[in-house]
Amino acid sequence: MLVPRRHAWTIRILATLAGLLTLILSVWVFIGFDWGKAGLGTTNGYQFVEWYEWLPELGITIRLGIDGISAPMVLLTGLVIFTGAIVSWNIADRNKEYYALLLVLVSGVYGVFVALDLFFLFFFYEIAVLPMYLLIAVWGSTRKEYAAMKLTIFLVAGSILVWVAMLAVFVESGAQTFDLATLAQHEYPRAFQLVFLPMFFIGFGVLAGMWPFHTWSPDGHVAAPTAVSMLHAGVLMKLGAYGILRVGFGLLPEGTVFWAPFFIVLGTINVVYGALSAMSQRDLKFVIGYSSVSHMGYVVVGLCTLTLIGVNGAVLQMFAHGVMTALFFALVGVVYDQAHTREIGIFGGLVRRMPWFVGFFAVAGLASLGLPGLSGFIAELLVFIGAFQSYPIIGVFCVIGVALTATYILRLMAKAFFGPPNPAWSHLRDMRPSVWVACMLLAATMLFVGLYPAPFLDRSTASVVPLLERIEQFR
Amino acid sequence: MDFAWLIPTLCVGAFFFNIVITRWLGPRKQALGAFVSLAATAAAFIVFLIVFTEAVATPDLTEHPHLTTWAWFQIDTFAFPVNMVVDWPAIVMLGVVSFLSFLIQFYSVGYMSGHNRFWWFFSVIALFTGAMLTLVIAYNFLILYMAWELVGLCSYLLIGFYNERRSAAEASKKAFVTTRVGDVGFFIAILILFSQTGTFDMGVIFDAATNGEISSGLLTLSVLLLFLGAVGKSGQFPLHVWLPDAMEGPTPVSALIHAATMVTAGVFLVARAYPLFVAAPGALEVVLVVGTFTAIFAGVIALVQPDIKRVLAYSTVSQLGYMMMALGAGAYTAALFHLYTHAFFKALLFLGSGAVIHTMETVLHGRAVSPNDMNYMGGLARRMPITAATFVIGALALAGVFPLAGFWSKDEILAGTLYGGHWVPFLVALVTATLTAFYMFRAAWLTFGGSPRWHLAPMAADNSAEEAHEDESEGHDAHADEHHEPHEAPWTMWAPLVVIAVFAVIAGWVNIPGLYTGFGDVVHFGEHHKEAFSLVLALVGSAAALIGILVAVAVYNFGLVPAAILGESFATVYRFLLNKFYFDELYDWIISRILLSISALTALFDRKIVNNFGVDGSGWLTIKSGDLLRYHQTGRIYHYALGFVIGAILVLLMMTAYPALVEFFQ
Repeated sequence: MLVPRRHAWTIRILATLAGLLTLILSVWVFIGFDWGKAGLGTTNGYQFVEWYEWLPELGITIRLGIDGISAPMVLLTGLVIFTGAIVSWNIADRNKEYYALLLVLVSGVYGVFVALDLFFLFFFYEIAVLPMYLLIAVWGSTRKEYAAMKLTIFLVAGSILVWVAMLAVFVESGAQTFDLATLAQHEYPRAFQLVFLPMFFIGFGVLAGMWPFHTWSPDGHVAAPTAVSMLHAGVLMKLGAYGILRVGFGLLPEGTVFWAPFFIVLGTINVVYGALSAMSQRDLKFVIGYSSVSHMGYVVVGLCTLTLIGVNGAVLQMFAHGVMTALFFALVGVVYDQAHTREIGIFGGLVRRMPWFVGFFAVAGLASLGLPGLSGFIAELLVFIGAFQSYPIIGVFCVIGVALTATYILRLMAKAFFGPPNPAWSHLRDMRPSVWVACMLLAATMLFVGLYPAPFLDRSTASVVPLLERIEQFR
Repeated sequence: MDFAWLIPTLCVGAFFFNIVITRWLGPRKQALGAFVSLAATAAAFIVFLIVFTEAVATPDLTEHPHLTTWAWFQIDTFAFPVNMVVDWPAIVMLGVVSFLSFLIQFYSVGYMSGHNRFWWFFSVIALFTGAMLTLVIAYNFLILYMAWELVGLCSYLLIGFYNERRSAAEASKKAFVTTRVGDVGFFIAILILFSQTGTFDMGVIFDAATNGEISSGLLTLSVLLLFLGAVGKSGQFPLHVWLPDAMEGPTPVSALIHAATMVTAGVFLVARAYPLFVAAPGALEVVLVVGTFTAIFAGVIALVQPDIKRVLAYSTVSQLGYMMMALGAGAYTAALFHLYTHAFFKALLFLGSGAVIHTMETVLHGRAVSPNDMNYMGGLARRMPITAATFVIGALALAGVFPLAGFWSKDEILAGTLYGGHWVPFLVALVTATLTAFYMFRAAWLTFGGSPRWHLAPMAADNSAEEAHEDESEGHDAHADEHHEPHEAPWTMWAPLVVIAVFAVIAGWVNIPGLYTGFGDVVHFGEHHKEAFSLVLALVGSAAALIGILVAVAVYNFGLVPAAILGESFATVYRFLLNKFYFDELYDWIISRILLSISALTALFDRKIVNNFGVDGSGWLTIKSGDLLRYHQTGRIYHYALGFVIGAILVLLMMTAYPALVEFFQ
C-alpha cells in the first residue's frame, strides 16, 4: 500500500514475491509436517502451534497450528496465490487495490486453515469471503454487480448459520473457550447434535457449492477476474469443505453419523447435476464453473462416506480440484484477455495458434475427467472406494458422473480447439512466458500428485484416523 | 525377469524425454524425437528378448508366474501396491507389442515424413507402447485400469492427429467417449471387487473368487461389468461404432493401435481375468454370445464398404469377436493364439493399405474423392508389386489358408467351439471365415487387380475438397501435378512390410497340432488338454476360406455376377449394410436427442427454477415484503395506537384460549 500508484510493475513484482514467499513457506510447512508424530503428544496432533491470549475472559485465544488435513490445504493456497499473482500482471486498472485485496483474501484463507480457535476460524472465514465482493464488482466482467451481490449474500447467509451454530456449541459446552480441541473433547447431547450439525453443514456447504445452494458459484466464477476465479474455485470452495470436516465432523460426531446419508445424496446430486449442466453451457467459464460444482460433489460424497479411504480421498480431491481448476481459470483468462469472448462455439482450431494453451487445457481437462497419472484420478478413486464401501449405489452414480465429465470436456475441446482453424482468431497468440511458468507449475503439481500421492495421503491419514475413530463410536 | 518393468519404462521415458527436452530443439526436434522413440522401443525389444530367454529356461513358469510387488501408497491398513507379473501370456504380448511397435514406427518414418508434428507423433506412439506394455504385465486391477485409460488417451490423441479436420476431431472424441462407457463398467467392477476383498491385487481376488469368498451374484455382476470394459475397448457389439471411425487417424496408428495391440486389450483383459469368468456363473456364456454375434455382424458389414481402411476395421471387429467367441467357448489357448497371429497379419494389411493410400493421395490430388476409396484404385499390382504381394499374403493369412498363420489359429478356434459342444458358434465361425475370405479378396482385387480407375475420379468442384486432402498430405511431397502416377512406397515403408509378411506366414508354426505345440504348452488355463489334429476340421475350415476367395474372384475378376447387379437386386440390404445397420445414427440420436436434452433441461432448470425462482425469487420476495411492510411504518400515532389495541386484544384472546387449548391437546 505504500508503493505509489504509478509504479505498476513494482506492485506486481512485490505482490508476486509475496506470493512466492508464501508458497515457499507453505512448501516448508508441508514438508516439515511430520505425520509420524501426528495424533501424539500434547498438541492434539497439531504441529507448528503458536499460541497467544487475546480475550481470555471469553476464552478466545489466537491458536494457530497445522495438522495432516490442513497441510495440503496450506500448500494449495500457496500454489494458487503465487500463480494467481502472476496471471494478474495484465490488470492495469487500480492494480494496487486489486493486489491488496487479493492478499487480504489469501491471509483470510490461510487463517482459516491454520486457526485452532473457533472464533478466529470464523473471523478469518469472513476476511476471506468479503474482499470477494469488491474484487468481483470492480474488476469483474459479465453481470458483475449481480454476481457479486448474489455471491456475497449467499456466503454471508451461510456464515450466519455457521456463526449461530458456533455460539450454540460454545454455550452448550460450557467450557468457556473457543479452543477447537477442547470443544471437540466435549460430549454434546444427541438432540443438540442433530439440530446443529445441519447448520454447520449447510452453512459451510454453501461455500463448498453444495446443491441446491450452488448457484452463486457459476455466476461468481464467470464474473470474477481470472485470479479471483482461480482463488475462488481453487481455494475458497475448499474452505467450506474444510469447515465441514474440521468443525462439523470434529465437534458433532453423533450428528454427523445421523446426517451423513442425507448429505451424501446431496453430494451425488452435485456430481451428476453439475456435469449435466456443464454439458449445455456455451461460455467457457460457465463450463468450468459447473464443473467445479460437480467436482466439489465428490468432496462432499467422500466426506459423507465416513470411511477412512473416502475421507482421505475427499481431502486429496480438495487439493487436486484446487490445482486443476486454478489451471483451468488461468487458461480461460489467457484466451479471454485476447479474444474478449468465451463463447465456445465461435472458436475452432485454436490448437494451431496456441499449442501450449491447448496442451495445458488438455492436461487440466484430462485431470478433470479422471485420467490416471493426474491428480484427479487418485482422489476420485479413493472417494469411489469409500462410496462403494458404504453406499454402492452412490458410487455407481459418481462413476457415471466421471463419464459425463469426459463427454463435456471432450465436446468442448473438439469444438473450440480442434477442427479447421477459424481465420477470425488468427491474431490470437500463445501465452506469455510468465503465465506459462504459472501453468507449468500447476500442471507439474497435478502430474506429481497423480504419480506419487503418498506424501499427501500419509499426512491426511494421520489426522483422519483419530477423527474417524471418534465418529466410529456413534455408529 | 526382474528387469521386465524396464520394458514399458523405456518407452514412457522416451515420451517424457521428448516432451521435456526434444521439443525445444527447433527444427532438429523432428528427427531426434523419432530417433529417441525408435531407440527406446528397440531397447525395450532387446530387454524383452532377455526376459524371453530367461523364461524359456524356466520350465515351471506357467504354473508359477514371476510376481513382483512394489509399494505405491497406503492409507492406514489399506495398501495400494503395484503388482507386476511375468507369465507366458504377458511374454507373448510383450514381444508382439514391442516388435510391431518398432516396425510400425520404422514404417512411419517414411509415411509421416515432412509432417510438422513428426516428433509429437513418435512421442505419443512411444507413450502408447509404454502404456500397452504396462497393461500386459500388470497384475493389479488398478494398475491395469490406469494403463488401460492411458492407451485410450494415446488412441484419442492419435486418432485426432490430423485435428484440423473436423471429422478427425469428432472421431477421436467418439472413440474416447464410447470406450468410456465400457470403462465405467470396468471401473465399477473393480470397485465392487475392492469392496469385497479390500485389495486390487489380482492374485488375492482370483483366490477369493475361486474359493467362493465373493457371493456369486456380486461376482457375476462385477465380471459382466468387467466384460463391458472389454466390449468397449475391443469394439464388440454394441460398442463397436468407434473403431471404424478411428480410421481417421494416420494409417500406422490404425495398424498398431486399432488392429494389432490396443483393441486386443479387451480380449487380453478377459484372458487375464479368466479365473473370475470361470468362477462366475453365466459369464462365459455372455462372452460367447457377444463374441459370436460380433464376428458375423461385423463380417457382413465389411462386405460392402468402399473405404479400404473401413473394410479392415470391420474385419478387425469381426476377428476380435472370433477371439471373444473362443474365450467364451473355453478355448483360452486358441483365443490368445489367434490374438498373436492376428496382430501380425492385420498390421501387415493396414500397413499395406497405408502404402496404397500414401501414393493415392498424390495421385488423387485435387479430385473430389477420398484416397481410401477403392472405387478409384485398381491395377495397382503392376505399380507397387511389393505392397501388392505382401497385402495378398496378409489376406491369405487372414482368410486362414494353409500354411499361413491364420490357418492354425482359426483351426484352433473352430476346434475349440466344436469340441466345447457349441454348435451354433461353430457354424457362425465357419460362415464368418467364408465372409472374411470374400471381403479380403474383394478388397485385394479392387485395389490391386483389374484396370486403373483413378482417372475416373471427378475433379474437385471447388477448393474445399482439395484443402481437405491437403491437410492430410501436409508436408508430404505434395507437388502433385495432374499426371502423377502411383508408385512403389519408399524402402522405409516396404522393408517393414516384408518383415511382417514373413511373420504372417510363419507365426502360426509355433503351435502345429501333433508336430510342435510350444505355444499351447506354455499358454493355457488350468488343465492343459491337447486336441488331436482333425484333418476333417482343417479341410472344412479351408473349404470355407476357399469358397470365399473363389466367389470374390468370380464376382470381381471374371465378372460372372457383376457386383453392380448384386447391389441393385438387394438394394435394401445393400443400403442397410453400407450404412452399418444405422448404429451411428441410432447413437447420435441417443446422444444428441436424449443426453443433450437432459443436459439442456438440467441447465435450464438450474437457471430458471433454482436460480431465477429459488434464488432471485427469494431476493424478490425479500424486497417485496420489505415494500409491503414499509406501509406499516406510517409514522402516524393513531395507526400505532390501533396496532397496539389489536395486539392487546390478540394477547388477551390467547391468554384466555390457552388453558382450553392445552386441555384440547391432552
